[in-house]
Amino acid sequence: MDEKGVTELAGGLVDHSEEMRTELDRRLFNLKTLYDVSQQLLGAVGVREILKNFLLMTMGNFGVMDGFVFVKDGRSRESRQLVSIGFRGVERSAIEKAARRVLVRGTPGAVVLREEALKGIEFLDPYAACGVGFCVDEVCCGLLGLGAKLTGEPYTAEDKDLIGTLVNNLVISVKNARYSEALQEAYDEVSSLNRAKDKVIDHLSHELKTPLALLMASFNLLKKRLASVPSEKWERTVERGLRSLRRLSDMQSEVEDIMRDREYTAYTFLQGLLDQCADELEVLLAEEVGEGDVVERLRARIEELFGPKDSEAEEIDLPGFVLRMMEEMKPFFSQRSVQIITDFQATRPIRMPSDALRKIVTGLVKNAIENTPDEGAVEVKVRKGRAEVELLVRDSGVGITEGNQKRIFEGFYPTQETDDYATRKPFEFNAGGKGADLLRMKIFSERFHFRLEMSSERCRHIPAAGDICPGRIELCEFCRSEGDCARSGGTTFRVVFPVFVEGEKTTNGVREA
Amino acid sequence: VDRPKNQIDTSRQGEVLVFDVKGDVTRESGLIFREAYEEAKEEGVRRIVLKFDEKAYFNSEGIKVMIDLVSAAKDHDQQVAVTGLSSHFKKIFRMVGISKLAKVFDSLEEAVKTGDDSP
Repeated sequence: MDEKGVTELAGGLVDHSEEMRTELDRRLFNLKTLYDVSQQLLGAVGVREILKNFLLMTMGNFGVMDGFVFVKDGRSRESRQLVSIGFRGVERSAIEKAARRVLVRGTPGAVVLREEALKGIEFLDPYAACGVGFCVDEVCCGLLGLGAKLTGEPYTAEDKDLIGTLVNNLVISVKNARYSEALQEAYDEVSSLNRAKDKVIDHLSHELKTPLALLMASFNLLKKRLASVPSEKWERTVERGLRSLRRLSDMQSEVEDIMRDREYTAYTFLQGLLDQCADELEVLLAEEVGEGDVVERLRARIEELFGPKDSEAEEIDLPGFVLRMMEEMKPFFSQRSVQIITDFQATRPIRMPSDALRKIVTGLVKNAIENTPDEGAVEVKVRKGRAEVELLVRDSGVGITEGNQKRIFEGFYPTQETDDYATRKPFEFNAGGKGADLLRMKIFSERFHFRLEMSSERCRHIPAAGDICPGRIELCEFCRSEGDCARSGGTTFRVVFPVFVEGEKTTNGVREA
Repeated sequence: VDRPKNQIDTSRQGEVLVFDVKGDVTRESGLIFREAYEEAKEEGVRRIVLKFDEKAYFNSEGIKVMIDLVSAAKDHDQQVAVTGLSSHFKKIFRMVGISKLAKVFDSLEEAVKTGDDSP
C-alpha cells in the first residue's frame, strides 16, 4: 500500500469511528427515553397525564413537531381521551374520526400501522409519518400518530420497533391508571351512598323523637287514669310498655349521637340485651299463664342474679369492704385447705352500689378458691393508683387455656371439659357452676363504669383443656410445694374502679365515663 | 442525583437577546422557557441565543421543549442560535432536527456575532 492508500484508509477509519460514535449516542438517547418513559409513566396516575407525558417524550425522541395519542373506551362515549400537539388547523373531530377508522381491537399491545392504513388519515403523510394502534384491554384501545420528523427522514424499522416498545409501556400504564380510576369511582360512589344512608338515618332518628315523646306522655297519662283500677290488673303491662319505650328512646339518642359524630361506646350493650331478654321472658310468661306470681318471681330472680338496675350507689372504702367480705365468706370454705394471702393498701373511696360490689368480690374470691387445689394459695390485694383503685384476685390454680380465655366473659361457658364438669358445692375445687358470675361482672362493669381484666396462664403440667388437676398439691406428680404450684400457672382478675371525687357528675349515683 | 432546576438569566448583547440557561432541560423547563420567550417577543428582538452549561442534560421531553421554542421563534421570524452544548447533545440536536431550525455554535462570541448565517 502506498502512502496515499494509507492516508485514505486512515481517513476511512476515522469516518467510520465517528459514525459509530454517533450511532452509539443515538442508541444511548433512545435507551434513556425508554427508561424515562417507564419511570415517568409509573409515577403518573391519571390517563390524561400519562398520555401527555408519553407524547412529549416520544415526539422529543424522534424530533417531531406534530403528534397525537387517542384512547377510547368502547363502553362509554364519554371515555375518550385525546392529547394532540401541533397539527395546527386540524380539528379534534378529524383526529377522532381518523383514529376510529383505524383502531384495532385484539390482544393487548401495539401494532405499527402500514402505509395503506395511514393513507386513511388525511393529515398524516403516509410516507413520512408513523401510526401505532394499541389495545389496552378488551374494551379500551387507542392510536398514536406521529407527524413527519424535523429532519425529513422517514421512520426506520428500528424507529418503529422502539415506538412499539414505548407504546407497550404506555399500554401497561394506561391499564393501571384505568384500574385506579375505576377504584376511585367505586370509592366515590360508596362514599356518596354512605352519605345518603347517614342522611336517611339522621332524618328517621329525628322524626322518631316526637312520636316517642308523645307515646311516653300518653303512657304516663294512662297510668294516672288507671289509678282507680286495681294495679295488679294493669301496672305490670304498662310498666313493660314504658320500659320498651324508654329503650326505643335510648336507641334514638344513641343513633343521634353517632350521627353527630360524638364519641360513641357500646357501653350499655350487654345491659340493654339483658333488659330486653328479661322483658321478652316476662311477656312470654304473661301470655302463657297471665300476669301474676310466676312473672314476678322471674323478674325477682333476674334482679337477684344481675342486680337491680337502679341500685343506689354509695361511697365505699374498698379495703375495709373486701376485708369484711373475706370474713363473711370464711365459714363457707373452711373445709378447704387454701391459704388466703391479703394485702390491702389504704385507698381513696370508690362509689358504687354495695350489693353489686358484694357480688363482684364474692364472685371473684369464690372463683379463685374453686380453681385452686388444696394446699395452694389465693392472693387478694387492694392497691391505690392516682385516680383508680385496683382489686386483684390471683389464684394458683389450673389457669385457663388460650382458647377459653377469649370466651370467658361470655357467660355460661364452663372452662372445663363437659365430661369433667360437675356442679359440686360452692367453694369446692372445680365446683364449676354455670359461669354466669363472670358475665354478671361484665354487665356490672358496663353499668357501673369500672374495668374488668383477666390474665391467665394455663398450668404447664396440664396444658390441654381435658387434662385434670388432682385438686391437692400432695397428689400432684409435678409439684411438691405451694410455690411449685403457683409457678406452674394461675389466673389473675384485675378490677379497676375510678376513685370517687366529690361534686363530680354522676348518673344513677355512679360517675359518668 | 439531584440536578439543579432551571434558571434563565437574560441579557442584551446589541441586537441579540442571550438566554443564559442553568440546569437540565426537562418537561418542567417548558414554562420557564415560554416565559422567557414571551419577554423576548415583547422586546421585539430578531435574534435569540440559547447558552447552556456544558453539563446540561436534555431528556426527550426537554428536546420537545426546545423543538417547540425554536419552531415558535421561526414562526415569528426570529433567529435562534444555540451554544454550550456537550458533544453528545450537539449530535442529538442534529439527529432530531433541531439544528435545522437553530444553528449550533461552539462559543457564545460566535453565536452572538454570526447573524445572517443562522438557518
